[in-house]
Amino acid sequence: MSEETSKLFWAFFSTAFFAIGGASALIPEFHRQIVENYGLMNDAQFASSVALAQLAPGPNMLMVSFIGWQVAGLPGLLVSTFAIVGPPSLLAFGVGRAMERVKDSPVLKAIKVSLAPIVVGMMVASGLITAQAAGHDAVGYGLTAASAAFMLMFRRNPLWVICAGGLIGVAAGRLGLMTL
Amino acid sequence: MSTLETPPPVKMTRLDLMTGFMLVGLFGFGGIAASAYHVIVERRKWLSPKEYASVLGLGQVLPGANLINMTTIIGDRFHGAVGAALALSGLISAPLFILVALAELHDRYAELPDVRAATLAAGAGAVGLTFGTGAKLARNILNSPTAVAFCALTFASIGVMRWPMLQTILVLAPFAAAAGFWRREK
Repeated sequence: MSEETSKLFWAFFSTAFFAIGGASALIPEFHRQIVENYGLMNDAQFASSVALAQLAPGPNMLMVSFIGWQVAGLPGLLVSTFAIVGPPSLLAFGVGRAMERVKDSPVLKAIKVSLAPIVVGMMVASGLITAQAAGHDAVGYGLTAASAAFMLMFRRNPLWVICAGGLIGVAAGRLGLMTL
Repeated sequence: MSTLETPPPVKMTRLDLMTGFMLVGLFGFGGIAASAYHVIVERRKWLSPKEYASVLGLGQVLPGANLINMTTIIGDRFHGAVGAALALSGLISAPLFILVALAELHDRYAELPDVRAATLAAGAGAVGLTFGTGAKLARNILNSPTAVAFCALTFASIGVMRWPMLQTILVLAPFAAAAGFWRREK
């Protein structure tokens, strides 16, 4: 493994087991590892990877595959995907049958419910860190606020928000309203 | 009690399993929660809604991405280790190709002003989605002072102090779990 692919591996492997709340809650940790710890991407590259990865279908967690590809091509993609998907899947395969019996236990449910506020805190931190990485101007903050409101009020596919955002960006760019 | 101790009486070949999860991946824009239910329960009828909820619940208590765990478990239930591998690779292979194509397209045209503007703006939209989803969750979850406190502590640690997520969770989760357990006992 090259130095970059082994950095990618450790960055995502160390996060894989703590993936509570899904990929979007993990963005702060990915940013800390990829940008701050290992310096594999700068803020702008990270922010655009997070945005672009949402355009593709599939599990949101494949955001790490996209980062892997951007950093180190095919080896980066394979290593990153394996690091985030492999270990939890092996565990699910190994203990899945045994867990079937305990998963409805009231104690486990109580614990799960009590972890939910931590996930909410992670999501809000996630939004903050991605916004800072992207370094938006007024148009950017307006779009962020609009899309948050959309998510809160409607149950529509988030892809619409991303696509509408892109179109508004093109218009704003052409009108000279956005700092590019 | 358990819904899937024995494989359900559904005829499903290994190829069916793989192509089914390929559809889940391809239809899953903005995450696969909706497309997984659509393909597994409504289209292919592999599981009843109740069985689906049960397997998803199992995916949620295990660490890692819930729906990826669920894919592994369903693959295993129907076709063992080979099934798990087929289901997983079916799920991620097509999206991976699309991601690579997107990356290449973006790299080629990244210097065009329109593309830069679109990427920046889509990024701003994506940030809003995260905030919006967080706020949506908060409405249902932050219903007690304890919940608000744990949410605020997590945000301060990860978002403001920029401390690592791992240590944050390791420190806060036991207290949160203990608080939840204590409240249940009362």
